[in-house]
Amino acid sequence: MKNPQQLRASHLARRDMLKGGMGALVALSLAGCSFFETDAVKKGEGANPGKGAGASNAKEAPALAAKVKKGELPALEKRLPKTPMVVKPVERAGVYGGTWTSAMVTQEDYPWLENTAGYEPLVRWTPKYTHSPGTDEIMPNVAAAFEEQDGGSAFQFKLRDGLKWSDGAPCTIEDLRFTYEDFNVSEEVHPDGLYSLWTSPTSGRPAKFEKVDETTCRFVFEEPKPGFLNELASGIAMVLPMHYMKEFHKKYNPQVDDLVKTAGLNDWLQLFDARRDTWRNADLPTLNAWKVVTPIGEGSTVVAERNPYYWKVDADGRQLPYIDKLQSQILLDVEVEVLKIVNGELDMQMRNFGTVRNKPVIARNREKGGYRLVTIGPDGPNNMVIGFNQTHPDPKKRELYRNKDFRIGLSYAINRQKIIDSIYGGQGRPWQCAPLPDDAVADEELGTQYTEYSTAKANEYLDRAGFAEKDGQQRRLGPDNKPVTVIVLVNSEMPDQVDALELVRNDWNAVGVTMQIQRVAETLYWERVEANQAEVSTWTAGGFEVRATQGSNHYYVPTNTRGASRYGSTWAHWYVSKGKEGEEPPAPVKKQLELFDKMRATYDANEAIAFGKEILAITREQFYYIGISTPPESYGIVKNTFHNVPESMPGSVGYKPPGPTNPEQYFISE
Amino acid sequence: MLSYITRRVALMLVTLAAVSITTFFIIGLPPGDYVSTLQAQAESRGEEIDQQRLAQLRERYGLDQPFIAQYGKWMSNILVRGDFGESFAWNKPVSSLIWDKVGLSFFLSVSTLLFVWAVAFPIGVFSAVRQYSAGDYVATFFGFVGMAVPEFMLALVFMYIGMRYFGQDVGGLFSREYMDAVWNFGKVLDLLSHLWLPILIIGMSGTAGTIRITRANLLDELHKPYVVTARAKGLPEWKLLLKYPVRMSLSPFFSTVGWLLPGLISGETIISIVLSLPTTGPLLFGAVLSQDMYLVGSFILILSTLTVIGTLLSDLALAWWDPRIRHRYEGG
Repeated sequence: MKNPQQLRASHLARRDMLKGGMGALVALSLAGCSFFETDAVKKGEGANPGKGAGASNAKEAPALAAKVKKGELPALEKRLPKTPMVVKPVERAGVYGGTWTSAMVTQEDYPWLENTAGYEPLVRWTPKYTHSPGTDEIMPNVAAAFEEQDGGSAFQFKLRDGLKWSDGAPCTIEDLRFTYEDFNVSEEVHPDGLYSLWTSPTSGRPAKFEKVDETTCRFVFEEPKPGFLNELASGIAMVLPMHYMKEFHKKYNPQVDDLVKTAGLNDWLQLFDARRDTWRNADLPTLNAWKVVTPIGEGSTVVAERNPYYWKVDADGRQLPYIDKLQSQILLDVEVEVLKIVNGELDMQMRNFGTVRNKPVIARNREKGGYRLVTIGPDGPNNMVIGFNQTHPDPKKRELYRNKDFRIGLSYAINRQKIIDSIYGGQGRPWQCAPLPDDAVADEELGTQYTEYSTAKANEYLDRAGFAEKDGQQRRLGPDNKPVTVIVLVNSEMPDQVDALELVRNDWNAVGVTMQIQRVAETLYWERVEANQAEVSTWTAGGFEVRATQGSNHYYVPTNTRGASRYGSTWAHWYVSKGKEGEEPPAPVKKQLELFDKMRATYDANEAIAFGKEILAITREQFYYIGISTPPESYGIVKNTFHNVPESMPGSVGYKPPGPTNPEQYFISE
Repeated sequence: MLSYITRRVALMLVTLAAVSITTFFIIGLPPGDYVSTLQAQAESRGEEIDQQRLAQLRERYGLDQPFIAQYGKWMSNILVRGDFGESFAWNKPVSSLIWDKVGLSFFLSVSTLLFVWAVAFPIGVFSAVRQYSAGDYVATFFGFVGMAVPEFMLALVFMYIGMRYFGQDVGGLFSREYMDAVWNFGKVLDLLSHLWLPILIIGMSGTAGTIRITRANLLDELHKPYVVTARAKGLPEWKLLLKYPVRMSLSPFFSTVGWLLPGLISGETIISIVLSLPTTGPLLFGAVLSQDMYLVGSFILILSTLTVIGTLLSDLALAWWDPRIRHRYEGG
């Protein structure tokens, strides 16, 4: 990147040339945006791109300072809240300016925007995050302070005094009330029931919203509500700009149907949803560090510019963000993203490309592309888990898959190290479907039981399972004197699993069990699994969540009629319908479900962890899934001119990386 | 001639009705619907959508209604109000989505067609006139290579070469410094420097095909008695060639010009995906993947309409151009 002096010099040279060559154009050129300029002139900047770092002691970006001078913007003190949030830079205080170029893969990839420019929940994760079930890793954000009251049945939030939306309008308790009462728990908006986060566990009634004073409010539940703050920190919308949004709400604008008609939509809910979408509506005021100016759907690049009213400062009291502008190009193919990275076109990027397969090419081109790699923790505890449908409608199949010795035998038969070496780049270690060792509920034995590769043990367990008889081709025979065959359903959009299954098939063949692989598209996969038709099916795994943030507990206890259908569809239906549908599960599973309810109703983190461990002890006994290995770490790339990005960060989706590492304090300089 | 056109238009309407029903039916065939796509997306983001919300969404989008009801509602809205419905994924009316992207698709289609004609026609004539010469073999060789190599492969190879050896940035319409710049001469140059590649790649296979067709047609004509007669009468070789056999061999140009119309809005899907061009192709592709049924249905309906209109136009153009065909129409 040229420094401002160089830029200005090259402009002068061009002007001189124009004077000599085409005198008539001089006026045009001096006037600013001449069409005949060939340099890139940023919108709204005119022909004067000399907007660089500015003095390092300036308290605000030079462009904003200029606007203040011209009287287009109130002074900095008037824009900041009385107590701005202070963000400590990762390495050092930065300089203002620059554009952060990144990429999205299809417009559905908006979580990238959300995690980089949109992680501004009421309370947030601290940068140091270990997935603790307590509230010790939660810190204030939009709320200047928060309090857990009455043993966790009420939550008090104090907004920052003088907090403003990106259009300068004050952000108040009324915005919070509007978002909660008129949107999150409005029966008109949610005719089929409210999201469980907002309701008291027993009665199902939503928490009461109480205004304490002009900047303070409380959410009052009827009983302790564990995980409330944790879920808020995962980025649930808690505050919408009422002054803008009320125009699209039936309660505040009876004529909203006219707007619906003009927009060509069906009802006001749809309009409301469209208008509150930060990434598709450039008019929506925001609290984010950068405000979208070119939304998704207009052109091929999403552009966001600094929010002049952003309410965070660095340790020296300088307003953040350091970077002027984000531009994220909407690509349609991951390979193109890889090429762009290798070519040094992206400043800081993570997500889609970060696979083991792409790592060699990206690592090899570090020098040429001028970037470095940072470590992103793995998401989820396993590359592939194989679930056996213990509630299959066919009694014979059900009996086969309920036979624990059979499953143990198959687990011993798998050469996991070979799969790790040939498919997962040698990274990871043999591991069952179990939380990783650094998790609060980690259970080492759950992770390592039956992972040893031993055909002798495999044969021993399969013999014990009742399949000792073999035919001429060394295939084990079932009670009906036919070879034991398992049909495995795999999602064709997970090519690594398809490859891994081929290896597993050979291993199982070696101990006399035949496997048929059914490779189907994702939608068909889910249709079969949810209809309880799949016999054996694979997926990746999720963590065990003491607090509800990602809903992946069904890997350990049948709580969810979708995911848990891989091993216990009818049990999950029984649980979800409170015994009206499905099938009563066996005693240990029932015990698990009881403990699960207790865990979710226990506010004290340590007690809840104890319940979680008890549940997992039963999971260990039940051995629902055969797992393969721990997933490799992912990685992101950071240009060498891009600073203040930590060398490693957690990768779990609930953490919203890189959001909690404060992208507003990233900066660009040579 | 008039009765011929009337008959064709009537047939067109029948075709379109059949196409629209078939499309709508096929979209509904694969397992799942747009809501299950939403669910899968939410899960990959680590969110959970509960069953009530799913049912609510299905009701809002009308996905719980039977096929005939959905089709009837969609079709009557189109016929009565010209309303193609709305895209679930974009939360926008379908028509605005499509027309937003037609500009670039249009530009690409027209420039590609011009490129193909400009390159293929002279080469085709040359290789027919100099059949089995070294030049003919070279043209044939490259023609077949262009036809045989998949376009996306060419695109990736070109991108890699551009990046590795020329330090060009890859994909998209603008370099990073121009992405958000105001329009000026530099931005236009930057745009053009990104657009020649897709035109070349998309044109490649078309060029190869057109070379072969021109060559074959011209070869048919070159040895006909009227050519021999004209030559015997002492007509200069180039004048003879261009005035008679070349004119006769132009028919394929007219019969393919009609395909331009659907091309205007179909965009070159795969190339656009690889090169990250915001044409209509990737929009349709994404819609098919996420089962965004009204977007797909309307897309295909508009495409089919343009195809049948284009075919009619090119038949008419052909009749105008070639008296033999005109007489056959009028005779029948």
